[in-house]
Amino acid sequence: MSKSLRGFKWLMGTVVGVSLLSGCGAPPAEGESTPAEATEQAQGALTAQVSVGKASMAASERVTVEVTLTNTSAAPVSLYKWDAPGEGLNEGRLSVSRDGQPVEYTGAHFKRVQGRAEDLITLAPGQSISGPVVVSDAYDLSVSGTYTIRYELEARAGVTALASNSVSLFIEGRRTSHEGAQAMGTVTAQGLSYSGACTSSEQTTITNAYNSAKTYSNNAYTYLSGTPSATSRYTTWFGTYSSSGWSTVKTHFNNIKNAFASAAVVVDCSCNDSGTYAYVYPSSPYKIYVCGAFWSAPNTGTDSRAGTLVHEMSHFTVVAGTDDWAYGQTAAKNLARSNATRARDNADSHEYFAENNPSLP
Amino acid sequence: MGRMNLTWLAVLTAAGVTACTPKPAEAPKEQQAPVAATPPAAEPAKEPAAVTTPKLECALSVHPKAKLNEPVEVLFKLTNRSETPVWVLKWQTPLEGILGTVFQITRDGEELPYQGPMVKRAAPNADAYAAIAPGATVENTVEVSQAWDFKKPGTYRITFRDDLMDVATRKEDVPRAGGEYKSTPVTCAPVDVTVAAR
Repeated sequence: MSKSLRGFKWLMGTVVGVSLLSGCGAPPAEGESTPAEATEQAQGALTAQVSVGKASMAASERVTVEVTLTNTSAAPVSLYKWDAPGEGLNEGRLSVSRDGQPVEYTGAHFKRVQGRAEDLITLAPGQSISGPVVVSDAYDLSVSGTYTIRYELEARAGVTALASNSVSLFIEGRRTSHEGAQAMGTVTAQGLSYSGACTSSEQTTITNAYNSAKTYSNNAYTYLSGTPSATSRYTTWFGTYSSSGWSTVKTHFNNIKNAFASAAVVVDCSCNDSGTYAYVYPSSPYKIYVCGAFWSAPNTGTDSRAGTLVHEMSHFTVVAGTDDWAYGQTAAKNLARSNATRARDNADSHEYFAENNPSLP
Repeated sequence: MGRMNLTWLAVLTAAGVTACTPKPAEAPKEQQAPVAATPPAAEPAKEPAAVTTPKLECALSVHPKAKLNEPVEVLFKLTNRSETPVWVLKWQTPLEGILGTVFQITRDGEELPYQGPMVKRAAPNADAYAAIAPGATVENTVEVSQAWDFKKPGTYRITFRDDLMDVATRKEDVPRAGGEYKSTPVTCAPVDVTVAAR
């Protein structure tokens, strides 16, 4: 089922980005469980901890919780990777209830081959593993209410049964995930969400920019899938043609378009600096902070909102890992002439190639 | 000014631990413009005036030993060794804090991933430049352990990116019009810091 597959892929892709959904703009700790609840529930070898970054989630938002498992015993503990967060927890390991009533697990179930060593993760004494778990993909969140979420694992070979603390949050009812994916259209289905108090008109602006960024990156990839050669569009932004250079840039745009198509992107509106379009932490996909200059930019064209999102997406280490070696069209063109290697590692060069303004063949 | 906003973000976030709570992290202290030149006595033998490439001297310093889990701070100094003033765009240098990969940092030879922010900027204004009088030095201290992982013992080598994005020699070029920046190579000797558990 494609929906669960997407969720799975997303989990696999964000092992590094653990805390990124915990909304920097939201008042700190507001969505955390009460201190009493937050106390880890020691249960033999492993302890589990669940946290959420927000106290309430709108119907358009993907609901995730952060799960951390820690080996508190003196010996290594092994568990299956599908039971662990971050590695693809995608079965009913969460206990979810709404206003005291259990909520049905609607995600996929898997028939597993048990006992294969390659499916085991071993936690050394003291070691922790953590990662996001998508709730909205796998549980029935069709009714608004206060939901309580806990991670549970029944006893199995070598692992004592355990249960985490509970977190509570208000979730606005949404269409069931499957219908929702069809009804919400291209963007929200992939989990574009917002943090840092984006107004509804800002959300509309971001959605438009996001769709245009998707078009930009798809078109750039299609262009690069053509026969490689020293085209003026390529050489203007990436310098002297080489087949390996072309192929590097093509890989970058493949990753960029795939990220726009399927990653859980969070756009944050808390930055207001007028001298800045946007920024990211490249090691924390896929959160993009947009700033003052973003709002005054056009939706498409040179240094546009859509292009800015392409620029930022290219920075993430798991996407294209670009850096900032030159800013602006003039400097990016000069960089292409003086240092093609750096041009291929420069975020603005990718943006201008994608914006293709003025249009070059 | 909004820029401050980003500066503290840059300072406090990094390692991703509690990236979001705006504790009043110390903003990097910034030397205000080209105050007084260093005493003439410190001036080296006169060089023939370089017209095209302004002579800039760059130096890094760090305490060579640090304890694990203590902040590691690097002092960046840029000295104008020419006889006319220069204006240096602070972007991607420690003069503005850590808003990009201003350094390449290795631990025992292994390059460390950068964990700070990367910023797409609008055209600079005059405030984005540091003016440096002849013989004067501008400097700033940044906490590199905010943006790179210094949480393991080892020998860390810190190397400045070898490039200033724009250096102007005429005041009327500040800020540079039309994005015609004159990027200027500058070499700082790398510095090492050994981080030990105790």
